[in-house]
Amino acid sequence: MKQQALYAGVAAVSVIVAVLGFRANPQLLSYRQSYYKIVEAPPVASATVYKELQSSCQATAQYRYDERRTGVAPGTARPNSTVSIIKQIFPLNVDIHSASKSSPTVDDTGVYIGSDTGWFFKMDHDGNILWRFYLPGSGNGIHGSAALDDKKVYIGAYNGFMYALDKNNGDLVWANPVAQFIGASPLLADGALFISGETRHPDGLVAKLDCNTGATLWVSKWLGGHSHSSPTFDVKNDLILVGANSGRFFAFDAKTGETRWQQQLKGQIKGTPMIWDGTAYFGSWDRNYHAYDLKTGRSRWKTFMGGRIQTSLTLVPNSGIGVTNTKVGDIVGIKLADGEILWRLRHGDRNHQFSILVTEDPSRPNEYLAWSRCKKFQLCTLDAKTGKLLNNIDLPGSFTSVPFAWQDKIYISLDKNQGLVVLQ
Amino acid sequence: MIKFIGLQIEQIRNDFTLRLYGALLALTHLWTFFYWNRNQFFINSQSSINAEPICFPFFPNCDLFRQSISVDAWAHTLTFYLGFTILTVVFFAFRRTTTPAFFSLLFLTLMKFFLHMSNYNFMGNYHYMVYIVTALLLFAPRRRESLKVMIVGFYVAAGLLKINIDWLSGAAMIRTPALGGDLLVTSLFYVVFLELVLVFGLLHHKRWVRAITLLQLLCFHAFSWHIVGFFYPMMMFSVLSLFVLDEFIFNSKREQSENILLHLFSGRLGRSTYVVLIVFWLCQVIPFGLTTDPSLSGALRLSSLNMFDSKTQCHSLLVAKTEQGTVHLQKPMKNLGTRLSCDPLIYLNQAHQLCRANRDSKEIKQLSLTLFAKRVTEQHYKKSIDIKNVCELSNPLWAELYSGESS
Repeated sequence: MKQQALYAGVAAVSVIVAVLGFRANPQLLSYRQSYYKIVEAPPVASATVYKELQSSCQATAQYRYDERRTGVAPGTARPNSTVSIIKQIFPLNVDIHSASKSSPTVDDTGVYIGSDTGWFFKMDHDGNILWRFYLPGSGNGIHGSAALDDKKVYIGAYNGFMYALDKNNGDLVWANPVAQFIGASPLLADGALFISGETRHPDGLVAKLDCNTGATLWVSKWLGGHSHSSPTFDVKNDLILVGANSGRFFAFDAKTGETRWQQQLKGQIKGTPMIWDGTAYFGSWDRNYHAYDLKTGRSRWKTFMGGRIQTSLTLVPNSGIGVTNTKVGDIVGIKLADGEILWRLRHGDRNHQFSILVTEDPSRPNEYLAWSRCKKFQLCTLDAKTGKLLNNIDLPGSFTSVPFAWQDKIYISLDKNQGLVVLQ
Repeated sequence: MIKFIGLQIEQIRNDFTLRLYGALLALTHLWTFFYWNRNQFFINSQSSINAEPICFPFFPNCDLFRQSISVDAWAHTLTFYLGFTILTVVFFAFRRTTTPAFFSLLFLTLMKFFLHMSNYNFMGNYHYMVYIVTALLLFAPRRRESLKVMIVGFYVAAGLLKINIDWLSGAAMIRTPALGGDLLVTSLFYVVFLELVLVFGLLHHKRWVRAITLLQLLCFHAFSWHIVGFFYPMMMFSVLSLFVLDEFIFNSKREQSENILLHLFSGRLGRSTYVVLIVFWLCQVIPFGLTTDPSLSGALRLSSLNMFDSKTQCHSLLVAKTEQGTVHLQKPMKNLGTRLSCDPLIYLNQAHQLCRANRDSKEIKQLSLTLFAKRVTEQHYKKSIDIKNVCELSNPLWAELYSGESS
């Protein structure tokens, strides 16, 4: 009798514990199959909304100008090749982190720029600060460039948060802790916001967010490494394209985040892919520039550049040419159809972190200017089709960001306490 | 009351095992001294030199109190604590000093409790269990029985908390264990089985069953040393020493028949033992009624053991609206261990202190706090705190009761 009472007690306790345990953890039953796959997919964060502010989610300006990341300024931005510095504005970057600095983003409402100290600024076109927003450390602040729509500015930071701010007054509209670090630039496309983020593993992910609420709509699978590459959108095939330090290049379905195709290269992919004529173009640390068919994911060509590629290719409109920098100290014009190198301007500056800006030449209709760093403290203007050097402009500091053209002005954020320069 | 205490002292005086156990429980204060004294942890925490100034919710301005006492005074306090510990151990060694031993252990425990409650940096299960065991030793009418049953209860509560992917996969480990792969997973399953089922062997009437159970528990704590450090195992060795003393060193006369296990389930233990058990288990269950995931909470799980059940990840948004603009404030980083780094109380303390400072300066127009947290094995973050205006709350440290998705 006593023994029976004991066994009954033990049995009752065991049953209760088992039931409670499995109810609390239903995945335990499938656990045996996946001991080591603790987290198969990246975490999905949620946003906090601070202010109701509905906007169009259509970009008025963003990194590399458009969703194909061509790097070509619109026709309204036509600075002269003989610009000179009209203003230098402090404070901005202090060189906490070696990654390329945040590039300014400019539209009709003003100039928007982040710094590696964690401050984000809005200035008027003359460089007067209108408002500022501060975000806390990761230690590295902001390195991506903002995306703007009609009412909001979107920026990610090295603390892993994506922020949407009210363009008028800098009020925080929403914030979403997408990842552990964000060094890339957000993309406004297809009525939503896309961003690549990084984790400590190290690994990376791409997320699609609702631009009005910040809600996470989907998160991609793990990229296999950090993603310094900003996402690009292919409207024809509805793809989001991004590269990663794992050497993998991904094409995700923009609606669902499912992987449509991916390729594995031998070198890291740090630059932002550019899209033109059904092809994605990007460089790699394998020292080649690559072209991949967007529909099939097959390689069209690759061209050896002599050094690691970290920049993005910039389109020269109406020419079938793309221009880029290389680590061996060249600016190169590449034929987009087959990767043939058409011209090379050797300048010897082996820093390869900055991409080139292309604008229409106001003095020569249908001709284009390429703006690039060509020495550590120089901005060069070239004929984008031929590579002929047109002008050198001395700067007070070096830069790793991309110049941004607006109307007849050029804005460049400099490294190491040299602030932001405005050229006209 | 005096008569009651006198009776407890007399019972302890007449039982060498209990006196020795009292000395071993006093030794837990010695381990506490070593633990608090390592790397100046106690001084740094009390003076907030190198630690976040964090408080329990029922003492929200403890940081002001602590900082009103000089660093030297805190150092002397710790020294006094050490000295009193040694004195207490010595008192328990002699029959004629049982009365001072009783009161000094009580004083020592209250002193530690007070220091503990004055600083959330000191939170931890190891203290919680020793308080209970000390209280039972000093005041429980059927102390031996209550102690043994309660110690088994600790393990069962701890085992229940480990029935999840985080523990069973090893994801909850704060350091990489010596075992890996399938051997690690098997041993983690075994620990749960040990704590939920085998541990009842400590109450079995057969001596060899008790011995094997005790040996397994001792081995478990010894093995855990390289993962959790010295303190937790040493505290548990002290707590478990009652079984060693009772079974193997002294053939002392027992209060009850040997079959505590059978009596436990057939209702034949003392009423006081059941009362203690019921209160203990109510405290364990309370957090599950207040929140969907106690491991992501701070204030809501204060009444219960919160074991090695999960590792958490989090993001915080403490946003201040000022005249100069909007500022997303820095999250606290000073020397927070794994168990505290995503504790909502850390962030609520920071917000509370900002609000307190802002009462005079009025620089901050609005302070909002959102904390997203999840277990490392989960994919989706949950909002464990979501407060639009923290400074409007009278005691923000209790904010988890009415804020967030996980409450």
